[in-house]
Amino acid sequence: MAGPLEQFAIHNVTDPLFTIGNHPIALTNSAIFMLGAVVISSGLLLVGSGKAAMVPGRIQALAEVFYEFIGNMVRDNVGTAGRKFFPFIFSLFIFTLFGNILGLVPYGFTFTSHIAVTFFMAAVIFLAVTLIGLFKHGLHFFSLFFPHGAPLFTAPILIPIELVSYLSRPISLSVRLFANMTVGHVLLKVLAGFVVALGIFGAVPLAVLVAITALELLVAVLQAYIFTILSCIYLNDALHLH
Amino acid sequence: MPVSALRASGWGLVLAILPAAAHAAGGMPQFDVTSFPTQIFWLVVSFALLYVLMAGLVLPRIGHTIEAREGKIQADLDAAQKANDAARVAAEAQRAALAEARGKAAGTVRQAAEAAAAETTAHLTTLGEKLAGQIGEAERRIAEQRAQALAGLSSLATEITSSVLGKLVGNVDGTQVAAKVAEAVETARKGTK
Repeated sequence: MAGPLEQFAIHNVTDPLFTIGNHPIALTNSAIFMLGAVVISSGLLLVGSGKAAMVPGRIQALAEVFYEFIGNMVRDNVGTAGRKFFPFIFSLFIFTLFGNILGLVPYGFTFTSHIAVTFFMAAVIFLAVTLIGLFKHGLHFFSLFFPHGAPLFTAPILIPIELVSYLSRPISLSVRLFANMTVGHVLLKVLAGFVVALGIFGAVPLAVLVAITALELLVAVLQAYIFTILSCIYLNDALHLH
Repeated sequence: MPVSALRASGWGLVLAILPAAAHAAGGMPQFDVTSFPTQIFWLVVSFALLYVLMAGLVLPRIGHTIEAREGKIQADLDAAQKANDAARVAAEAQRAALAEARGKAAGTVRQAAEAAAAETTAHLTTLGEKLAGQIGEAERRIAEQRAQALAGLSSLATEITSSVLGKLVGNVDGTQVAAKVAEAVETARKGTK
Protein backbone atom coordinates (compact mmCIF):
# COMPACT_ATOMS: atom_id res chain seq x y z
CA MET A 1 0.00 0.00 0.00
CA ALA A 2 1.26 3.43 -0.99
CA GLY A 3 2.34 5.80 1.75
CA PRO A 4 0.33 8.92 2.52
CA LEU A 5 2.91 11.12 0.84
CA GLU A 6 3.14 9.22 -2.40
CA GLN A 7 0.10 11.05 -3.81
CA PHE A 8 2.16 14.24 -3.84
CA ALA A 9 4.99 12.78 -5.94
CA ILE A 10 5.56 14.52 -9.23
CA HIS A 11 6.55 12.30 -12.11
CA ASN A 12 7.13 12.91 -15.74
CA VAL A 13 4.46 11.75 -18.15
CA THR A 14 6.58 12.48 -21.22
CA ASP A 15 10.26 12.71 -21.87
CA PRO A 16 11.67 16.19 -21.29
CA LEU A 17 10.32 18.42 -24.04
CA PHE A 18 12.97 21.14 -23.81
CA THR A 19 15.24 22.73 -21.27
CA ILE A 20 15.16 26.13 -19.61
CA GLY A 21 18.64 26.92 -18.41
CA ASN A 22 19.82 23.53 -17.15
CA HIS A 23 16.35 22.36 -16.22
CA PRO A 24 14.67 19.82 -18.46
CA ILE A 25 10.94 20.51 -18.69
CA ALA A 26 8.67 17.52 -19.18
CA LEU A 27 4.92 17.21 -19.03
CA THR A 28 4.17 16.03 -15.47
CA ASN A 29 1.09 14.85 -13.59
CA SER A 30 1.05 18.25 -11.90
CA ALA A 31 1.18 20.01 -15.29
CA ILE A 32 -1.68 17.85 -16.60
CA PHE A 33 -3.87 18.89 -13.67
CA MET A 34 -2.92 22.56 -14.06
CA LEU A 35 -3.78 22.48 -17.75
CA GLY A 36 -6.84 20.37 -16.97
CA ALA A 37 -8.04 22.94 -14.44
CA VAL A 38 -7.57 25.65 -17.08
CA VAL A 39 -9.31 23.63 -19.82
CA ILE A 40 -12.25 22.59 -17.64
CA SER A 41 -12.77 26.00 -16.04
CA SER A 42 -12.38 28.00 -19.24
CA GLY A 43 -14.49 25.46 -21.15
CA LEU A 44 -17.25 25.86 -18.58
CA LEU A 45 -16.95 29.64 -18.57
CA LEU A 46 -16.71 29.92 -22.36
CA VAL A 47 -19.87 27.83 -22.74
CA GLY A 48 -21.51 29.80 -19.92
CA SER A 49 -20.67 33.15 -21.47
CA GLY A 50 -21.34 32.12 -25.06
CA LYS A 51 -25.09 32.23 -25.28
CA ALA A 52 -25.61 35.57 -23.50
CA ALA A 53 -29.27 34.72 -22.87
CA MET A 54 -31.47 37.19 -21.03
CA VAL A 55 -32.71 34.34 -18.84
CA PRO A 56 -29.57 32.30 -18.12
CA GLY A 57 -29.43 28.53 -18.25
CA ARG A 58 -27.56 26.50 -15.64
CA ILE A 59 -24.03 26.89 -17.00
CA GLN A 60 -24.56 30.57 -17.79
CA ALA A 61 -25.96 31.13 -14.29
CA LEU A 62 -22.88 29.43 -12.82
CA ALA A 63 -20.55 31.63 -14.90
CA GLU A 64 -22.47 34.73 -13.81
CA VAL A 65 -22.37 33.64 -10.15
CA PHE A 66 -18.56 33.40 -10.37
CA TYR A 67 -18.40 36.77 -12.12
CA GLU A 68 -20.61 38.57 -9.62
CA PHE A 69 -19.00 36.83 -6.62
CA ILE A 70 -15.47 37.95 -7.55
CA GLY A 71 -16.77 41.30 -8.87
CA ASN A 72 -18.36 42.02 -5.48
CA MET A 73 -15.26 40.80 -3.65
CA VAL A 74 -13.02 43.18 -5.62
CA ARG A 75 -15.49 46.06 -5.28
CA ASP A 76 -15.97 45.56 -1.52
CA ASN A 77 -12.28 45.04 -0.68
CA VAL A 78 -10.42 47.14 -3.22
CA GLY A 79 -13.02 49.64 -4.44
CA THR A 80 -13.33 51.05 -7.92
CA ALA A 81 -9.52 51.29 -8.24
CA GLY A 82 -9.48 47.48 -8.23
CA ARG A 83 -11.51 47.34 -11.43
CA LYS A 84 -8.49 46.82 -13.67
CA PHE A 85 -7.21 43.97 -11.48
CA PHE A 86 -10.52 42.15 -11.69
CA PRO A 87 -9.46 39.76 -14.50
CA PHE A 88 -6.34 38.77 -12.55
CA ILE A 89 -8.22 38.24 -9.27
CA PHE A 90 -10.91 36.30 -11.14
CA SER A 91 -8.33 34.05 -12.83
CA LEU A 92 -6.56 33.56 -9.49
CA PHE A 93 -9.77 32.38 -7.82
CA ILE A 94 -10.80 30.10 -10.68
CA PHE A 95 -7.30 28.58 -10.95
CA THR A 96 -7.05 27.89 -7.22
CA LEU A 97 -10.64 26.70 -6.90
CA PHE A 98 -10.45 24.24 -9.79
CA GLY A 99 -7.01 23.07 -8.69
CA ASN A 100 -8.28 22.37 -5.17
CA ILE A 101 -11.46 20.63 -6.34
CA LEU A 102 -9.80 18.57 -9.09
CA GLY A 103 -7.38 17.32 -6.44
CA LEU A 104 -10.31 15.70 -4.61
CA VAL A 105 -11.17 13.54 -7.61
CA PRO A 106 -9.95 9.98 -6.86
CA TYR A 107 -6.53 9.29 -8.41
CA GLY A 108 -6.27 13.04 -8.98
CA PHE A 109 -3.33 15.27 -8.23
CA THR A 110 -3.54 18.48 -6.18
CA PHE A 111 -1.11 21.00 -7.63
CA THR A 112 -2.09 23.50 -4.91
CA SER A 113 -0.63 21.09 -2.31
CA HIS A 114 2.83 22.03 -3.55
CA ILE A 115 4.68 24.84 -1.85
CA ALA A 116 6.49 25.64 -5.11
CA VAL A 117 3.18 26.49 -6.77
CA THR A 118 1.55 28.33 -3.87
CA PHE A 119 4.70 30.20 -2.95
CA PHE A 120 5.36 31.27 -6.52
CA MET A 121 1.80 32.62 -6.79
CA ALA A 122 2.05 34.34 -3.41
CA ALA A 123 5.46 35.80 -4.24
CA VAL A 124 4.28 37.17 -7.58
CA ILE A 125 1.24 38.72 -5.88
CA PHE A 126 3.42 40.13 -3.09
CA LEU A 127 5.96 41.64 -5.50
CA ALA A 128 3.29 43.00 -7.82
CA VAL A 129 1.35 44.54 -4.96
CA THR A 130 4.49 46.11 -3.50
CA LEU A 131 5.51 47.52 -6.88
CA ILE A 132 1.97 48.87 -7.47
CA GLY A 133 2.12 50.57 -4.04
CA LEU A 134 5.56 52.06 -4.71
CA PHE A 135 4.55 53.19 -8.17
CA LYS A 136 1.32 54.78 -6.97
CA HIS A 137 2.51 56.41 -3.73
CA GLY A 138 6.29 56.69 -4.15
CA LEU A 139 8.14 56.88 -0.83
CA HIS A 140 4.87 57.61 0.93
CA PHE A 141 4.21 53.89 0.50
CA PHE A 142 6.49 53.25 3.51
CA SER A 143 3.94 54.93 5.79
CA LEU A 144 2.27 51.53 5.54
CA PHE A 145 4.82 50.36 8.14
CA PHE A 146 3.92 52.99 10.71
CA PRO A 147 0.26 53.17 11.73
CA HIS A 148 -1.15 56.65 11.34
CA GLY A 149 -1.57 58.48 14.67
CA ALA A 150 0.69 56.22 16.75
CA PRO A 151 3.06 58.10 19.11
CA LEU A 152 6.44 58.70 17.50
CA PHE A 153 8.44 57.01 20.26
CA THR A 154 6.72 53.68 19.44
CA ALA A 155 8.31 53.75 16.00
CA PRO A 156 11.36 51.61 16.92
CA ILE A 157 9.01 48.83 18.03
CA LEU A 158 6.16 49.26 15.55
CA ILE A 159 8.16 49.58 12.35
CA PRO A 160 10.03 46.26 12.74
CA ILE A 161 6.79 44.52 13.70
CA GLU A 162 4.93 45.93 10.72
CA LEU A 163 7.85 45.15 8.44
CA VAL A 164 8.05 41.53 9.58
CA SER A 165 4.29 41.20 9.29
CA TYR A 166 4.42 42.65 5.78
CA LEU A 167 7.30 40.47 4.64
CA SER A 168 5.70 37.33 6.06
CA ARG A 169 2.59 37.87 3.94
CA PRO A 170 3.76 35.73 0.99
CA ILE A 171 4.83 32.98 3.39
CA SER A 172 1.57 32.90 5.33
CA LEU A 173 -0.44 33.18 2.11
CA SER A 174 1.35 30.28 0.44
CA VAL A 175 1.80 28.03 3.49
CA ARG A 176 -1.89 28.36 4.43
CA LEU A 177 -3.02 26.95 1.07
CA PHE A 178 -0.24 24.39 0.77
CA ALA A 179 -0.62 23.09 4.35
CA ASN A 180 -4.41 22.88 4.19
CA MET A 181 -4.35 20.93 0.96
CA THR A 182 -1.51 18.65 2.06
CA VAL A 183 -2.99 17.87 5.46
CA GLY A 184 -6.44 17.19 4.03
CA HIS A 185 -5.10 14.74 1.48
CA VAL A 186 -2.76 13.03 3.95
CA LEU A 187 -5.66 12.63 6.36
CA LEU A 188 -7.85 11.11 3.64
CA LYS A 189 -5.06 8.72 2.69
CA VAL A 190 -4.39 7.64 6.30
CA LEU A 191 -8.08 7.04 6.93
CA ALA A 192 -8.37 5.12 3.67
CA GLY A 193 -5.50 2.93 4.90
CA PHE A 194 -7.53 2.15 8.06
CA VAL A 195 -10.54 1.14 5.95
CA VAL A 196 -8.51 -1.58 4.26
CA ALA A 197 -6.60 -2.65 7.39
CA LEU A 198 -9.67 -3.07 9.62
CA GLY A 199 -11.57 -5.38 7.29
CA ILE A 200 -15.26 -5.51 8.18
CA PHE A 201 -14.78 -2.85 10.87
CA GLY A 202 -13.41 -0.61 8.16
CA ALA A 203 -16.97 0.65 7.74
CA VAL A 204 -16.35 3.03 10.64
CA PRO A 205 -13.34 4.85 9.12
CA LEU A 206 -15.16 4.67 5.76
CA ALA A 207 -18.06 6.66 7.20
CA VAL A 208 -15.59 9.13 8.68
CA LEU A 209 -13.84 9.25 5.32
CA VAL A 210 -17.07 10.24 3.61
CA ALA A 211 -17.63 13.03 6.12
CA ILE A 212 -14.02 14.20 5.83
CA THR A 213 -14.31 14.21 2.04
CA ALA A 214 -17.30 16.54 2.31
CA LEU A 215 -15.31 18.71 4.70
CA GLU A 216 -12.34 18.71 2.30
CA LEU A 217 -14.64 19.94 -0.45
CA LEU A 218 -15.63 22.82 1.83
CA VAL A 219 -11.95 23.43 2.65
CA ALA A 220 -11.07 23.40 -1.06
CA VAL A 221 -13.63 26.14 -1.79
CA LEU A 222 -12.83 28.05 1.40
CA GLN A 223 -9.06 28.08 0.86
CA ALA A 224 -9.49 29.31 -2.72
CA TYR A 225 -11.72 32.06 -1.33
CA ILE A 226 -9.25 32.94 1.44
CA PHE A 227 -6.30 33.00 -0.98
CA THR A 228 -8.20 35.33 -3.30
CA ILE A 229 -9.65 37.66 -0.68
CA LEU A 230 -6.26 38.06 1.04
CA SER A 231 -4.77 39.01 -2.33
CA CYS A 232 -7.55 41.61 -2.61
CA ILE A 233 -6.79 42.95 0.85
CA TYR A 234 -3.06 43.21 0.09
CA LEU A 235 -3.88 44.97 -3.16
CA ASN A 236 -6.16 47.37 -1.30
CA ASP A 237 -3.39 48.15 1.22
CA ALA A 238 -1.05 48.99 -1.65
CA LEU A 239 -3.60 51.13 -3.47
CA HIS A 240 -5.04 53.01 -0.50
CA LEU A 241 -2.38 52.50 2.23
CA HIS A 242 -4.10 52.52 5.62
CA MET B 1 -18.89 20.11 14.68
CA PRO B 2 -17.29 16.69 15.26
CA VAL B 3 -15.94 16.43 11.69
CA SER B 4 -13.98 19.65 11.98
CA ALA B 5 -12.77 18.55 15.41
CA LEU B 6 -11.59 15.36 13.77
CA ARG B 7 -9.85 17.40 11.11
CA ALA B 8 -8.15 19.45 13.79
CA SER B 9 -6.91 16.24 15.43
CA GLY B 10 -5.98 15.19 11.91
CA TRP B 11 -3.52 18.07 11.85
CA GLY B 12 -1.93 16.67 15.00
CA LEU B 13 -1.89 13.18 13.53
CA VAL B 14 -0.35 14.41 10.32
CA LEU B 15 2.25 16.47 12.14
CA ALA B 16 3.10 13.41 14.22
CA ILE B 17 3.42 10.97 11.36
CA LEU B 18 4.74 13.33 8.70
CA PRO B 19 8.40 13.30 9.73
CA ALA B 20 8.45 9.50 9.91
CA ALA B 21 6.50 9.11 6.69
CA ALA B 22 8.60 11.71 4.98
CA HIS B 23 11.72 9.98 6.12
CA ALA B 24 10.44 6.61 4.92
CA ALA B 25 9.43 8.07 1.55
CA GLY B 26 12.72 9.88 1.19
CA GLY B 27 11.34 13.32 2.06
CA MET B 28 8.15 15.11 1.20
CA PRO B 29 7.77 15.44 -2.58
CA GLN B 30 6.80 19.07 -1.91
CA PHE B 31 10.36 19.85 -0.86
CA ASP B 32 12.03 18.17 -3.82
CA VAL B 33 13.70 21.24 -5.24
CA THR B 34 14.47 19.62 -8.58
CA SER B 35 10.75 19.60 -9.42
CA PHE B 36 10.36 23.35 -8.83
CA PRO B 37 11.40 24.68 -12.26
CA THR B 38 9.01 22.32 -14.05
CA GLN B 39 6.14 23.18 -11.69
CA ILE B 40 6.72 26.91 -12.02
CA PHE B 41 7.03 26.67 -15.79
CA TRP B 42 3.68 24.87 -16.15
CA LEU B 43 2.11 27.16 -13.55
CA VAL B 44 3.12 30.23 -15.56
CA VAL B 45 1.97 28.66 -18.84
CA SER B 46 -1.41 27.47 -17.58
CA PHE B 47 -2.15 30.58 -15.53
CA ALA B 48 -1.23 32.82 -18.47
CA LEU B 49 -3.52 30.78 -20.70
CA LEU B 50 -6.35 31.08 -18.17
CA TYR B 51 -5.74 34.81 -17.72
CA VAL B 52 -5.77 35.47 -21.46
CA LEU B 53 -9.00 33.52 -21.91
CA MET B 54 -10.68 35.20 -18.92
CA ALA B 55 -9.56 38.77 -19.63
CA GLY B 56 -9.93 38.54 -23.38
CA LEU B 57 -13.08 36.50 -23.84
CA VAL B 58 -15.05 35.29 -20.85
CA LEU B 59 -15.19 38.35 -18.60
CA PRO B 60 -16.10 40.93 -21.29
CA ARG B 61 -18.84 38.62 -22.56
CA ILE B 62 -20.34 37.99 -19.11
CA GLY B 63 -20.03 41.68 -18.22
CA HIS B 64 -21.77 42.61 -21.44
CA THR B 65 -24.54 40.06 -20.82
CA ILE B 66 -25.17 41.30 -17.28
CA GLU B 67 -25.18 44.94 -18.44
CA ALA B 68 -27.56 44.11 -21.30
CA ARG B 69 -29.85 42.31 -18.86
CA GLU B 70 -29.86 45.22 -16.43
CA GLY B 71 -30.54 47.60 -19.32
CA LYS B 72 -33.38 45.39 -20.53
CA ILE B 73 -34.89 45.16 -17.04
CA GLN B 74 -34.68 48.94 -16.65
CA ALA B 75 -36.20 49.50 -20.10
CA ASP B 76 -38.99 47.03 -19.32
CA LEU B 77 -39.67 48.74 -16.00
CA ASP B 78 -39.79 52.13 -17.72
CA ALA B 79 -42.12 50.78 -20.42
CA ALA B 80 -44.35 49.24 -17.75
CA GLN B 81 -44.42 52.57 -15.89
CA LYS B 82 -45.34 54.36 -19.11
CA ALA B 83 -48.06 51.83 -19.94
CA ASN B 84 -49.38 52.12 -16.40
CA ASP B 85 -49.57 55.89 -16.70
CA ALA B 86 -51.31 55.62 -20.07
CA ALA B 87 -53.77 53.12 -18.63
CA ARG B 88 -54.49 55.45 -15.72
CA VAL B 89 -55.14 58.35 -18.14
CA ALA B 90 -57.36 56.13 -20.30
CA ALA B 91 -59.29 54.96 -17.24
CA GLU B 92 -59.78 58.58 -16.19
CA ALA B 93 -61.03 59.48 -19.70
CA GLN B 94 -63.30 56.45 -19.73
CA ARG B 95 -64.75 57.40 -16.34
CA ALA B 96 -65.39 60.95 -17.59
CA ALA B 97 -66.97 59.66 -20.82
CA LEU B 98 -69.13 57.29 -18.83
CA ALA B 99 -70.32 60.08 -16.52
CA GLU B 100 -71.06 62.31 -19.51
CA ALA B 101 -72.96 59.53 -21.30
CA ARG B 102 -74.90 58.79 -18.14
CA GLY B 103 -75.87 62.48 -17.84
CA LYS B 104 -76.85 62.61 -21.49
CA ALA B 105 -78.92 59.44 -21.17
CA ALA B 106 -80.72 60.81 -18.12
CA GLY B 107 -81.53 64.02 -20.09
CA THR B 108 -82.86 62.02 -23.00
CA VAL B 109 -85.02 59.90 -20.70
CA ARG B 110 -86.40 63.01 -19.01
CA GLN B 111 -87.12 64.62 -22.39
CA ALA B 112 -88.85 61.50 -23.65
CA ALA B 113 -90.94 61.29 -20.48
CA GLU B 114 -91.93 64.93 -20.76
CA ALA B 115 -92.80 64.55 -24.44
CA ALA B 116 -94.87 61.46 -23.66
CA ALA B 117 -96.64 63.24 -20.81
CA ALA B 118 -97.40 66.26 -23.02
CA GLU B 119 -98.72 64.03 -25.76
CA THR B 120 -100.94 62.16 -23.30
CA THR B 121 -102.28 65.41 -21.88
CA ALA B 122 -103.04 66.76 -25.36
CA HIS B 123 -104.72 63.53 -26.32
CA LEU B 124 -106.84 63.56 -23.17
CA THR B 125 -107.78 67.21 -23.75
CA THR B 126 -108.97 66.61 -27.34
CA LEU B 127 -110.77 63.49 -26.21
CA GLY B 128 -112.47 65.42 -23.40
CA GLU B 129 -113.46 68.20 -25.80
CA LYS B 130 -114.81 65.69 -28.30
CA LEU B 131 -116.77 63.92 -25.61
CA ALA B 132 -118.05 67.22 -24.22
CA GLY B 133 -119.17 68.19 -27.74
CA GLN B 134 -120.93 64.87 -28.17
CA ILE B 135 -122.59 65.21 -24.76
CA GLY B 136 -123.71 68.77 -25.59
CA GLU B 137 -125.12 67.62 -28.93
CA ALA B 138 -126.95 64.75 -27.26
CA GLU B 139 -128.39 67.08 -24.61
CA ARG B 140 -129.45 69.56 -27.23
CA ARG B 141 -131.20 66.81 -29.18
CA ILE B 142 -132.89 65.53 -26.06
CA ALA B 143 -134.09 69.05 -25.22
CA GLU B 144 -135.35 69.52 -28.77
CA GLN B 145 -137.21 66.28 -28.76
CA ARG B 146 -138.59 67.04 -25.37
CA ALA B 147 -139.77 70.48 -26.55
CA GLN B 148 -141.31 68.87 -29.62
CA ALA B 149 -142.95 66.32 -27.42
CA LEU B 150 -144.28 69.01 -25.11
CA ALA B 151 -145.48 71.11 -28.03
CA GLY B 152 -147.22 68.03 -29.46
CA LEU B 153 -148.77 67.41 -26.04
CA SER B 154 -150.41 70.90 -26.00
CA SER B 155 -151.91 70.62 -29.49
CA LEU B 156 -153.03 67.03 -28.76
CA ALA B 157 -154.74 68.17 -25.55
CA THR B 158 -156.45 71.06 -27.41
CA GLU B 159 -157.65 68.72 -30.12
CA ILE B 160 -158.90 66.14 -27.65
CA THR B 161 -160.62 68.82 -25.54
CA SER B 162 -162.18 70.49 -28.64
CA SER B 163 -163.59 67.21 -29.93
CA VAL B 164 -164.82 66.23 -26.39
CA LEU B 165 -166.45 69.67 -25.95
CA GLY B 166 -167.81 69.59 -29.51
CA LYS B 167 -169.54 66.33 -28.76
CA LEU B 168 -170.78 67.55 -25.38
CA VAL B 169 -171.60 71.18 -26.11
CA GLY B 170 -171.76 71.41 -29.83
CA ASN B 171 -170.13 74.24 -31.54
CA VAL B 172 -167.20 75.58 -29.51
CA ASP B 173 -164.92 78.49 -30.07
CA GLY B 174 -161.64 76.82 -30.95
CA THR B 175 -159.36 79.69 -29.99
CA GLN B 176 -160.90 79.97 -26.51
CA VAL B 177 -160.43 76.22 -25.93
CA ALA B 178 -156.92 76.40 -27.14
CA ALA B 179 -156.12 79.26 -24.76
CA LYS B 180 -157.68 77.44 -21.79
CA VAL B 181 -155.95 74.14 -22.61
CA ALA B 182 -152.64 75.90 -23.02
CA GLU B 183 -153.19 77.55 -19.64
CA ALA B 184 -154.05 74.18 -18.05
CA VAL B 185 -151.07 72.48 -19.62
CA GLU B 186 -148.90 75.26 -18.37
CA THR B 187 -150.31 74.88 -14.90
CA ALA B 188 -149.90 71.09 -15.00
CA ARG B 189 -146.40 71.39 -16.18
CA LYS B 190 -145.66 73.80 -13.41
CA GLY B 191 -147.27 71.41 -10.97
CA THR B 192 -145.25 68.46 -12.05
CA LYS B 193 -142.13 70.41 -11.82
